[in-house]
Amino acid sequence: MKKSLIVLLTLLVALSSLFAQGAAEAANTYPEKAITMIIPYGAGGTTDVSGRKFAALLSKELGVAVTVVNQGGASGSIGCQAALDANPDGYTVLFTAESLGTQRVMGLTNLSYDDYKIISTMVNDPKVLVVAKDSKYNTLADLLADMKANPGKIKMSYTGPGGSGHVQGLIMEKLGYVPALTAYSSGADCYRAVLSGEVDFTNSNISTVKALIQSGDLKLLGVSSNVKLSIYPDAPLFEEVDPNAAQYMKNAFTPLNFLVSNKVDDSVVEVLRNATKKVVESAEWKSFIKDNALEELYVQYPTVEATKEFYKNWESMVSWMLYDAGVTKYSPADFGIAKP
Amino acid sequence: MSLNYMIHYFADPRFILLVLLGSVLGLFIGAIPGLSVTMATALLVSVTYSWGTSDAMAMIMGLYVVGVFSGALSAILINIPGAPSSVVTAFDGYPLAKRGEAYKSLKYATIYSFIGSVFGFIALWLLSGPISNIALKFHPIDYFLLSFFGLLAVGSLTSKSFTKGLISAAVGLLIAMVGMDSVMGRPRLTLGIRALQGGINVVPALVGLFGMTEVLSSIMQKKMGAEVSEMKNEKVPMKNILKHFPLSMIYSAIGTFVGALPGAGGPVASFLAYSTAQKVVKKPSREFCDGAVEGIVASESSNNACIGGALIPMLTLAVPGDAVTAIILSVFIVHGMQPGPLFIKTQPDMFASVLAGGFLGCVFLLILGLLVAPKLSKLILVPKRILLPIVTVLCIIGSFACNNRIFDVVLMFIFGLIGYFMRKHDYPTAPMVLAIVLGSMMDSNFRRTVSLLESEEHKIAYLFSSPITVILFAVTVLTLIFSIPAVQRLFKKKK
Amino acid sequence: MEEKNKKINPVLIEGIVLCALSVLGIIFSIICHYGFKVEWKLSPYLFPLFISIMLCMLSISLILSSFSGLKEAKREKGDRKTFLIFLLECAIYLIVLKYLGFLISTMLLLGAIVHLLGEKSWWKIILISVVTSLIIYFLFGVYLGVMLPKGKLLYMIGIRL
Repeated sequence: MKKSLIVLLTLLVALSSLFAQGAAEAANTYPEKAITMIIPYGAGGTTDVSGRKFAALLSKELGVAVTVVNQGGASGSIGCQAALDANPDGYTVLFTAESLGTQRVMGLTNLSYDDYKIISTMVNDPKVLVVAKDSKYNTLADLLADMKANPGKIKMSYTGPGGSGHVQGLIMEKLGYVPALTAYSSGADCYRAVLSGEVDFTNSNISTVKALIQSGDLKLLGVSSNVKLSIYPDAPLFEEVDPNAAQYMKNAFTPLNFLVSNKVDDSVVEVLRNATKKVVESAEWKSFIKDNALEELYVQYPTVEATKEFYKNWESMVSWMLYDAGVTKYSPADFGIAKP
Repeated sequence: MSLNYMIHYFADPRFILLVLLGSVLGLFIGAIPGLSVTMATALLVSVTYSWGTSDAMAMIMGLYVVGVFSGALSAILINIPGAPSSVVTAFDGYPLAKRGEAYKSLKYATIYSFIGSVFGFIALWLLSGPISNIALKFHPIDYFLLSFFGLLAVGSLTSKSFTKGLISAAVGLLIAMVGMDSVMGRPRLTLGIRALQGGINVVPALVGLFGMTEVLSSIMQKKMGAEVSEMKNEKVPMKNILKHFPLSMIYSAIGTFVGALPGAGGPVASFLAYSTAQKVVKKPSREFCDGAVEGIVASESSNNACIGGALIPMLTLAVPGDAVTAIILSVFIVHGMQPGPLFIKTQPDMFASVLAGGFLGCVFLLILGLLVAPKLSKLILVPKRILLPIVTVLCIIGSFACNNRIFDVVLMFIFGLIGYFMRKHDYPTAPMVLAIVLGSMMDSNFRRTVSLLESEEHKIAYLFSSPITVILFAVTVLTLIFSIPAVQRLFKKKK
Repeated sequence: MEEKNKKINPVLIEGIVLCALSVLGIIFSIICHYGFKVEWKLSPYLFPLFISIMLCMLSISLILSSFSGLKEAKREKGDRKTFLIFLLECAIYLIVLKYLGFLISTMLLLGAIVHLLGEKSWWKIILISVVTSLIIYFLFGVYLGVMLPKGKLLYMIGIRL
């Protein structure tokens, strides 16, 4: 009995040392091979575009290939789950949008930001209100006035429940402007609906519609942010037309984030964080930001604590708003999310 | 003006080589059931990230054009379409191959894929503005009616019993409903199974209902020798093939236009073209669905013409026409360009690279297809006891590769069994596959229509305000009425 | 001819079963809908409801056509034994996949099926199963980057396949 116990213990110690050595080695020489970056949305979307650019620059910085894999579906939850299911050796990273903040209340999964370690928050693609070129609305004030006079009659396209467009619609409702919402499959499809005349306006991300504004096919009425657009400084801010909107416009609506699974070693996370810092300082990244009118969130929230605070506030505001609108499966209170 | 740039690309040996590379890749990927051109294009984007944009375009276009075509190769040889677009090609292509005329089948497919692709690219080059404008006029109700009509057409032409065809389609629609609801964002019909939340992907269904079903049927029938014992060494003169050219223009036009409607693509186009062929061609060389080359002409011209069509909204509006063009869109964006209404004017050289890559891809399609056809047609001579196991493994890997889950492989086997029982009882499997492809599009457009109607007071007037809607509605209703056996008998008696 | 008249037309049975299932579908859609607290106009179960109703009508049409002469082609008795063994081998494959990894499991499956379907020559069996599996493994697993299942048992011995 005693002998076999000793044998067993020795075996266990030997085995665990094998594993321990593996982990230590990994931290010292990470990264050694190609890293997979999961983007839980389709190719061509706003997350994908920023993610791919970032992946390319990160790859140069780290010296290994960073391969992007699109795993879209279920509001991003499929890709987010895949990042957790993969081996937590740091070779699978996640570049995602804001859906982790609403997964639980929407009843999609039990995922949230708590399941991940934050490498860095990245950028925000500002939301803008656009109408077709032959639309009868020429200013944001016109649109809002008409919406107030005819609640539930002015049509807006959005990308589905929980999406950033939906949040915009709910904010408008809270302010007294009630749009008639119709769901479309993607940001591109939303503005296509505006172009075809099916709906009156939409809330797009600026990078998606920039080309159409330039060509004149879409009219830019306003910006849903508290910061002016660098490329269209004349476009009015929502709060300039309705001061009540100011309290809602503080939070970025489409924050893109760079995360890894909770189980990944801290030393690996440090390596990634340092590399990210270098990438976002680079000239190539800066010009990409400028061309696409993106907001740099890592400047606003430079530390992990600040970022966590940001996510908490975002989650709180959006979850309760969605709950009040009746589109969630569970109440945010079920998950301990405080009211904003 | 683009012509100058195009000539520049045509004369560039590196560009040509890259298109060739992409074409060869496309030839293999498109032909293996379960491997999709979409997946390969996504991989290529990562690989070509550091290349110049026109180089990346060259390879991607080669892959795209030849990849869509080569779905026909496996459809004809083993009755397993390489992609949903090639399902219709199997209807006549495979029976022809079973008669020992695989070479003829392949040659027709090659020539008409070439003609269709070229047509699509010419349309892209010269008519993208007008086509895009007309396509914009399609509202959700029109998309719904179009796909509904497509399903009706499929249901009627694939089996003796219209009812059975429609049942197959209806069940397929229900299968398409499984997964995340696009409007409410919550799981639907998933019966509590977490893995089903992502929905049932078309790949396991396609591979299972065609591939695995074929394997299972063959095993049951104990036919373990070769499918065909000898090849008919028939010469297939070009003159005979080109006889169908005028009709192929119609099919290509259908394909290009359907491709320009975002969301609708190869499957819808090929079904519409095929049902048009059935109505227009009074005396096919053989019965349709039994080896009529007219069917192959319709299917292949239209599904390849879709390529040019799908590029139209992508380049003019930055709205992708299908999954592959969505990825091509991201290539442009990632290389710093902005597709949109000004793209063709401000980036004529990029537009030219797409066109040049496309045309070169068509040329390679022709060359590769004609080269490879005689050799591939011998595949039909491989004894089933060796072919079927390999096909089984291809089915397994194909269904695994789309989402990296074993669950999809299990689904594939289930579909194989379902398809086996369906075939045994004379239920056609093609409507089910098409319904799975179209189901979510039909559902979301149906709900969108309802949603848009809600804020209108005069609902009927709003619904039928567009002439497009009126025409589509009339065509659909008429098709439905004339397919009821009672009505058909009524008309026959009158004659 | 007389035999056929004594047996019930299978089409009739199919029609009845389908009718029953579609009615279940209608009930299911309605129940799920009321669990949702949404208007019918926005309900995810609106379309399934329509389809179930359509299926019901189609099944009635099927029943009617079984009376008006729709019959199925006669099928010969098939090779059930091979069929079932094939399915069994595939089921075993799916279970074993997680433990032995893709490469080994596929080689075994291929060998088993080729043998099952009648190939006698042993070297052919081995050749086909090994070569095909290797080609697929390299093409998909290595070159195309598909995350093929790795064997847990093999991992413990140190083989990462």
